[in-house]
Amino acid sequence: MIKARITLTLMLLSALLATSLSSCREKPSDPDRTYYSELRAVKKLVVGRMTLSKMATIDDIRLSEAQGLKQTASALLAAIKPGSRKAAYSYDTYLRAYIDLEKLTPADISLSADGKSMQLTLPAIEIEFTGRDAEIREEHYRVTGLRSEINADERAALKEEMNRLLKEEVRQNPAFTSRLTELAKTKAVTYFTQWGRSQGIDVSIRFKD
Amino acid sequence: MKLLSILRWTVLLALTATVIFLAIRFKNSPEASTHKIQQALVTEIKPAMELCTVEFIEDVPIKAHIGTRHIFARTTLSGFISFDLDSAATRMKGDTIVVILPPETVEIHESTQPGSYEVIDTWNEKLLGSTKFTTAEENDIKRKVIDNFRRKIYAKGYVRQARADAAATLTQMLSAMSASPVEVTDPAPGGYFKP
Repeated sequence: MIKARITLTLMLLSALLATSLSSCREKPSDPDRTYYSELRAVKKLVVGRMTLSKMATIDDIRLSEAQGLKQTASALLAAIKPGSRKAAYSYDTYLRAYIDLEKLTPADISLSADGKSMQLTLPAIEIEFTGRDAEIREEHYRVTGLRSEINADERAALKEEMNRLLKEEVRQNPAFTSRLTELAKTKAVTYFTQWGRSQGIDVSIRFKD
Repeated sequence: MKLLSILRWTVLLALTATVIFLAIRFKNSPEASTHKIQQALVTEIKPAMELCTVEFIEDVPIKAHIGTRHIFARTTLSGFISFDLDSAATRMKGDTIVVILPPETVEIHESTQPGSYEVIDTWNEKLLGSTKFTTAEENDIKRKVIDNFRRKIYAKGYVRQARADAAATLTQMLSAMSASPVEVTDPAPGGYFKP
């Protein structure tokens, strides 16, 4: 009787352990989402490019900086765990200045009767983000002791936050776009003036607002 | 007596396994860290003269593995096909200006739209195996995804379409600004694929 009880207890204990161990193995999810794809025909004359770099660091929350119960608990856990967990990441984002040639109308180009001079009114310079590096640069990485490694999803979340802040910075600080716009205007004027000169035409250029 | 000894050893074994398990869970427990994000820096600003005729944006699933570790993610890739007009050669054929369409540039980036890169799952085939991917491993996976996407761009004829559109647009633009007829020739309508 005692033997049977002990055997049963052992079996239950083993089953409990096996269940808890298997729970740490994550199962792949099958996300139900529709993938988006679009191809666009455009007529853009790209006249300037800008590269912006953004850097972020990962560090522990200090107990003195922790706010709320959850952060305090995390800061406490980080303080208990032996080791360090510090990293720095960066990546580049790209902007371009362009002239939308689809906004150019025949009325914007007027050639003099003798064919020696031309008035060209170009559409306003527009600026857009073209994308960011898919890769991320690891500038620094020091995870020691019992601290957990920085994983792909943590880096992805950090990149998402960096991207949000960068776009906000560009939107709030016109210095970024005005520098690019000025450079782009100069390039457009140089190109069209030189092209006209090679044809024996004196080209005068202005931009729409 | 013997049964008691077996029981003692089994309990000890179970306790050891539990301690190991808890230690692994403790080490891998999610860590709440602070993020300090620096101000953006302009690292390059340069003039350009490029004609862009095709733009694309596409959600791409990423499914890869290194050994027994697996990753499933989703990325939104955006890009365009452009032509550097500063490098376009010109010559005269009678009174016609002949412009030779330069090689295309296919630029592919991760989009800056919110949620353009999302790690959906990472797992290990081995029980208690690590699910972590280093930055270098993840970058390698992403590089392969972009290389495959570039191949697809050529295979689907996007480059051929971009070159045909560029020739037409360039003819139109330069003819409007010239007293002589302009002809744009394309020496490689299928493009210049560089694997």
